[in-house]
Amino acid sequence: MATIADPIRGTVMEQSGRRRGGPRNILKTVFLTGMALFYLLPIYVVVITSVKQIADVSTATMWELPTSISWGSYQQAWDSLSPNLAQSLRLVVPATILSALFGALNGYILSKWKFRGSDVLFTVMLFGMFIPYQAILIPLIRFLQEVGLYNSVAGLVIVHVVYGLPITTLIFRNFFTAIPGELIEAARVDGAGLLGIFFRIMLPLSVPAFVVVGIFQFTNIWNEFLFGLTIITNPAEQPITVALNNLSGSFSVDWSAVMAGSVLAALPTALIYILLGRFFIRGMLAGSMKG
Amino acid sequence: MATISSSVPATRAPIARRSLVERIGVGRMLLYPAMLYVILVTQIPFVLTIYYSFRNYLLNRPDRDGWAGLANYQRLWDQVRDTDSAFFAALINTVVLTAGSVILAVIVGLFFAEIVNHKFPGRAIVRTLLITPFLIMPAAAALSWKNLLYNPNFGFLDWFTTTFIPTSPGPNWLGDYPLISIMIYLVWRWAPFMMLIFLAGMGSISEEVREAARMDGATAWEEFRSITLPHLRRFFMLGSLLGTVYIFQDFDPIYLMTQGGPGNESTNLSFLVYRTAVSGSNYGLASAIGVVTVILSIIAVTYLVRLLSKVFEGELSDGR
Repeated sequence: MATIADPIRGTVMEQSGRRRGGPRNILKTVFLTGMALFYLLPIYVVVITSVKQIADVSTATMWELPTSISWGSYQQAWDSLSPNLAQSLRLVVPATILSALFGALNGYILSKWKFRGSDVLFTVMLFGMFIPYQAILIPLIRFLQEVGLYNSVAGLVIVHVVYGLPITTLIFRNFFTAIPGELIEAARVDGAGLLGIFFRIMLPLSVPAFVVVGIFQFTNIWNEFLFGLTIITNPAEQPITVALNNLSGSFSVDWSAVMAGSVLAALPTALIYILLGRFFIRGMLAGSMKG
Repeated sequence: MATISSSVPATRAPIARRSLVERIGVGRMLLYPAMLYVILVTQIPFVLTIYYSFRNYLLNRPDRDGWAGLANYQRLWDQVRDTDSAFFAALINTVVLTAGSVILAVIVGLFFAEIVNHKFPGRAIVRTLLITPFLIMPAAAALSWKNLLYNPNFGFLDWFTTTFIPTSPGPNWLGDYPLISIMIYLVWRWAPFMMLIFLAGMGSISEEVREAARMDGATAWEEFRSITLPHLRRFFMLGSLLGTVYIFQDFDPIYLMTQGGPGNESTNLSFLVYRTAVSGSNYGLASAIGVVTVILSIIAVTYLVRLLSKVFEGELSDGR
């Protein structure tokens, strides 16, 4: 290793080696773009099917562009899915905000107010991340039935907040650990208490962590299927993931409407990734590497 | 706590300090119940699952409720030795599906990352396009694969085979090869995720080291093998761990694409828990399967960590 990292030879390399193979590069680009497109074929098929008229949907013309673009299927998908989209929003927004807030509080206490046993506590909490949802489904349903929240969005919100806590706590704990202790000492001297420090100092500093946690939770909850399927039994009130399946399972299936529905359902999270994806990847790596 | 508050006031700002420390001391006491609550809420359901797994708990036979001891586990153990049973099938399918999907997704993801990491015109677009499968809602993606690609009369793959191999009628993908079909879908979905993780790792290799290696006449493959791969160690661990944890528990594609069928051919443990509880109404047995799933996933993760660290230690010492 040491012999290779020779600075002088490195610079020579830069001058002679960089420019070589222009046409090869173009060939490579064509090949790679082709490969990427092949990989994306499923998405292409979904999108073109969603704008086709029902009469145009057939095996023979599967991959062909539609003869005319029709937005009718989107209208149809919107008509049947908009209550479920609204339901998903009613679920995702409060669940994301609450789990982020509680996660921030937990992370703050576990990183800055360590007490005897706090590390054990944290480890036990993290164990919650490895529990498959199926393994706790039954007690959960029974509990919700007993407190009268079964079959309600409020019940689903609680479930998602509780099962989001381990990961949000982990991310916030790692984030707050990096904040210097002197800052808290100074605030303490100025007379701030436990919660005062949290609200006046830590919260304003933790906007990046909130972005990461927010994206993570929003996507997870929006995409979640099993809880939506089992905790809410009335099809009209189920979240969008389950409604999509109901739509495709009905007797006379209109494929273009189902595909239009898929596009609609996937749009919010895809947009978030495209706009804020960098934060997410950074946060995910930071969260899992340190933990 | 007591030692601090007694020693600090002696030095400076005695009055203010003492009251402050006391206040925080009280605050700390308040933390215990709050933390305890968090633990109870996140852990109790699993403890309850363990409890249910030792009971006879059939929704449609409430008269049979009661302590069952190890009966549910005994039943599972009997099934393990019966190769035709649902539990045996689910065990094998879960292992095959998880291992196969993770290994293939890591390989494909590494390939993508290595390609995208080199500069070429249009790189940003190719990268964004390649990530797309992971961005799409899993339920929407699984339904689209089922209905547009795998559909035997109507799907894209059927069109593909009948067009290019006119003599063959084309397989009924989800009917004839359910597990492989689901695996292909999972690899398609997870390879971009692996690519993202590897790209993050490759980004931290200094360009100087790479250039220097090229100067010394290293081929692309040698450069990849002796610089990129060893550097990606932690990222391999991270990617395969997260992949294993998620795919081990995956429920959506199985429910949406095959409902575990035909027969038990594509039933995994997660789906079996659901089926036993919801269709079979046997909450006790379903809880036992859930407990087994958790234990197995912990074993899998622990084993994987050991295996990977061994593999990479070997790799490193070989390299030197």
